[in-house]
Amino acid sequence: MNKKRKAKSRTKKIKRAAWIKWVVVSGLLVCVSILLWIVYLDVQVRERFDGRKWKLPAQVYAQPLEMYEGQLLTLDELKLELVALDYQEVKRVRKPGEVRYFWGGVEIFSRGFSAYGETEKPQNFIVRIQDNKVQELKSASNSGVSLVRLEPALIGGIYPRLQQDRELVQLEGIPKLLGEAIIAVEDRRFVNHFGVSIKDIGRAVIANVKAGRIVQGGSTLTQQLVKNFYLTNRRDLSRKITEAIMAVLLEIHYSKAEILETYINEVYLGQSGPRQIHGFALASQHYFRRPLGELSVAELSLLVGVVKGASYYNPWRHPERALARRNTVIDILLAQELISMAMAQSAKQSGLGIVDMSQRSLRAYPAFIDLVKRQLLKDYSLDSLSSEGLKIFTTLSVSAQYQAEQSLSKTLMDLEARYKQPKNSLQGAVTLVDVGSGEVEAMVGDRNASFAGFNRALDAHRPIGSLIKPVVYLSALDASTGMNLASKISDNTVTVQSSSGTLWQPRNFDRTSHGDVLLVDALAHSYNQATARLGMTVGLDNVARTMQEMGMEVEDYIVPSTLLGAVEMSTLQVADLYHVLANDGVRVPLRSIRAVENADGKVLSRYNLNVKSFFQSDTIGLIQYALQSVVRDGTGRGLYKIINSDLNVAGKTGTSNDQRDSWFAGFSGQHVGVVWVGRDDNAPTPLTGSSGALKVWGELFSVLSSASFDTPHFAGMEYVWIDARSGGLSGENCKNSKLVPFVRGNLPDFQATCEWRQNPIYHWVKKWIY
Amino acid sequence: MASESYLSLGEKMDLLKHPSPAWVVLALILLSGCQSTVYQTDGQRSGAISQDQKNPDQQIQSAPIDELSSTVPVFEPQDAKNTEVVEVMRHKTERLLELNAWQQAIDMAERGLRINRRYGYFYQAITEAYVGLGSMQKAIDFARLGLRYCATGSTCKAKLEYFLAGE
Repeated sequence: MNKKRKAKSRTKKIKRAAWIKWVVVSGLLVCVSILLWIVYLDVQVRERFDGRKWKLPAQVYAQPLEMYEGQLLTLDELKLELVALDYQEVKRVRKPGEVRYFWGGVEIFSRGFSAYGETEKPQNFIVRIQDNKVQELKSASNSGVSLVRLEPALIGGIYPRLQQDRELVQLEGIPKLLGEAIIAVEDRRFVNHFGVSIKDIGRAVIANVKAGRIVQGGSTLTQQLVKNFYLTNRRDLSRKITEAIMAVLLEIHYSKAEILETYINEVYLGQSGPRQIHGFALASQHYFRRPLGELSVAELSLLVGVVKGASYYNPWRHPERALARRNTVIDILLAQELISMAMAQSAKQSGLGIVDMSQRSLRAYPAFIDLVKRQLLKDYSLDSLSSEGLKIFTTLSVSAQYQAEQSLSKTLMDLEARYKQPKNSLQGAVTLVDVGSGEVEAMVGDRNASFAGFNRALDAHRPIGSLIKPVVYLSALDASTGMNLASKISDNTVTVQSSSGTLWQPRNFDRTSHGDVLLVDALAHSYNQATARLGMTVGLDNVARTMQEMGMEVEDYIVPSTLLGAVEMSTLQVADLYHVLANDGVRVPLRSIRAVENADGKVLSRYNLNVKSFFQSDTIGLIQYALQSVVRDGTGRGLYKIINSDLNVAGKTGTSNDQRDSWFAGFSGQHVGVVWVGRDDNAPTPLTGSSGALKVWGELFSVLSSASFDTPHFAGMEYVWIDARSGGLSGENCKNSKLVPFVRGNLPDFQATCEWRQNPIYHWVKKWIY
Repeated sequence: MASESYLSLGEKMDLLKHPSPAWVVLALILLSGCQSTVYQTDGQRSGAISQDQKNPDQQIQSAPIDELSSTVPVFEPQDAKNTEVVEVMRHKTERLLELNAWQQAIDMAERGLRINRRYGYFYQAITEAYVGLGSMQKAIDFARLGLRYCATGSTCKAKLEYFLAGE
């Protein structure tokens, strides 16, 4: 019996021991698991915090406005640049970012900047603009200044799929009041707790139980950071425990300052379309379009208030809620003695101060950013562009871009009304390039310029019609054909038979043959029959070679219809072509980027001026002259009804079959502009090049500050009076004579008869006297 | 008796519209002496007689060369547009070249070209900078380009020609 009991007791003991052992082992296993989990969380906390915290989209900047005496610049253009840079108009300029307009001048305090290895210090200066020119540039203290640059405006970004955007800021760059306000409003015990505040949790539990719903959170600022930075928005106990442990781990490894700085950069503060606004620095730009350092107490309070719910307190959608929330924050700041009573009262009396909804879209340049992105993708991966915080310095001119956008949208509306076309049926694209540097200053890919859809400036490849003709004439004048601008060519009907036996018989736009015409007139009036005959005379292979040398992507063997523009191109490609003509025959690759920097300001790439090929400047000069004739006497003469007659320009109209495409490409001494107008469904329009695209071009160049094109006269050229009818040598006092340039040694080889305009003696003496 | 110098411009013009024989003779002498240059084609210069020359009634003339020049000024390299700011940039570029700061010199010269693309010195500076960076092909390209914009007899032209001759 005893034995049995003993055995039983021993079995019990063994069982108990086994159970205890199991419990201990299980407990140990649980502890080890928890420990391992904590270690895992610790690794996670440190890995993310020590490494690259965020995927930073590339920031894209416009070109800085450079100002000097004698520069062509209108007051409107300067204002556009200052608006893009969010300068504040004040009565007295005291600090960077402020501007004062007064009669005849503008006082500016620039912010200064560092970009691609160059540093520009903040400067307080005065610029006087008169007759669309900078007449005087001097410092506010009255000393002369030769050159001033405004900082480049931020014009957009290249975002990852999840469009989180932020502008990083360091704690020392944050206004002191902002840090204090965040702590006062979000986590008063921030400096004392170790990541979790038991007191706050208890208080929140009591408040929530009393209310019967969740009315208060007990999360510390560190916990909020953990939730946003590491975890999802899932609301359950396990996530809360994880959050608490990670918060403690974060506090163990990092200082309060580091945690606060990360919070300030991480917190979600709004939405701009698909783009998420994170961090106070970017939020400051988003709501006020000014840097954080320039915000008032009221504005800082609004930002701090929005932390509680960026959507709920959206100041544009719910201004009353936002105002109430902002005032609550101001009250807290006053109660915490962070601001004085006077400051609080003044802050409460001010409005929200947010930018107008319409101004928010000023920074949408989808067509240009698209071009930048495509050019960058040759050197950078999309991942690098959307995550490494690169700074892209581009060639965009904010004012020229605005002018191009306005010219296109306004003119298309006018054209639709004038030609009784359905509203919004016409579309268009504009590309504007600086002559010489080849920098793309503006690009519009849609009549609604902020719409980020199909980019017509790059992707709408349409038949260019007569825009091709200068290339045909260049081939004729460049080859050893002995032709010059006064050479005659027949404009009678021309028929070309292809190898397959089909006949090509182009007709003039006016369905009339003009007999024998001078080359210069054939181009100025855009005669199809004369041009087709000329191209066939010169040889398709020669024309194709010239096209290739000018950068066009054509085969060695082109079909005859190519001579009249049966070749599809975008406005950017046409701009490339015409830039060669405008730039005295020098081909340089068009650029949209000047330099790329990494997030630390180190220059990664520079995109300097390059030279690809040359044409004889003398021959190009002849084409430049002929293109001036187009706008003075030819198909483009309507241009001078729109632009100032003092602005010397050259250009060419283009119309495709059935008037499906209306083109104008032209240049001043400073800009090449190309405009396409048509319909997305490729349907015919009532527009020719001169009644459609030319109007947009004219509208743009009537407001754009651009230097006149110098009438070409290179060393190898000479100007000679010729008879406009026969093309023979003539004189100034002969009827129908005109002054035409020739390449030296290639003059007309006969003399025309001369019928005096005036008595020759009277003519001579008149010239002598004057 | 009033001398001719007291005639107003309008009176002078009236006189010319209805010239007296003496005036005509005087004017014709002057015209034949210097101003009424008959343009000669290459064929005429070499002695061939054109059909028009055979008929003295059909006078063929072209405007004298100085007249043409005033109508269309010959492109002058190194033109003086925005002189002050261009000179400031030139000076800065020169300093950077002295410091062998090639890339910055290129950037500065490009800034200068954006203000005046026909200022030959900047092409010379870019050429020198690319030589400094060891990019010879680029240096040659810019030297060739610079020759278009450097005035005849200028240091700029001489330097670029010397460089290209050595390549």
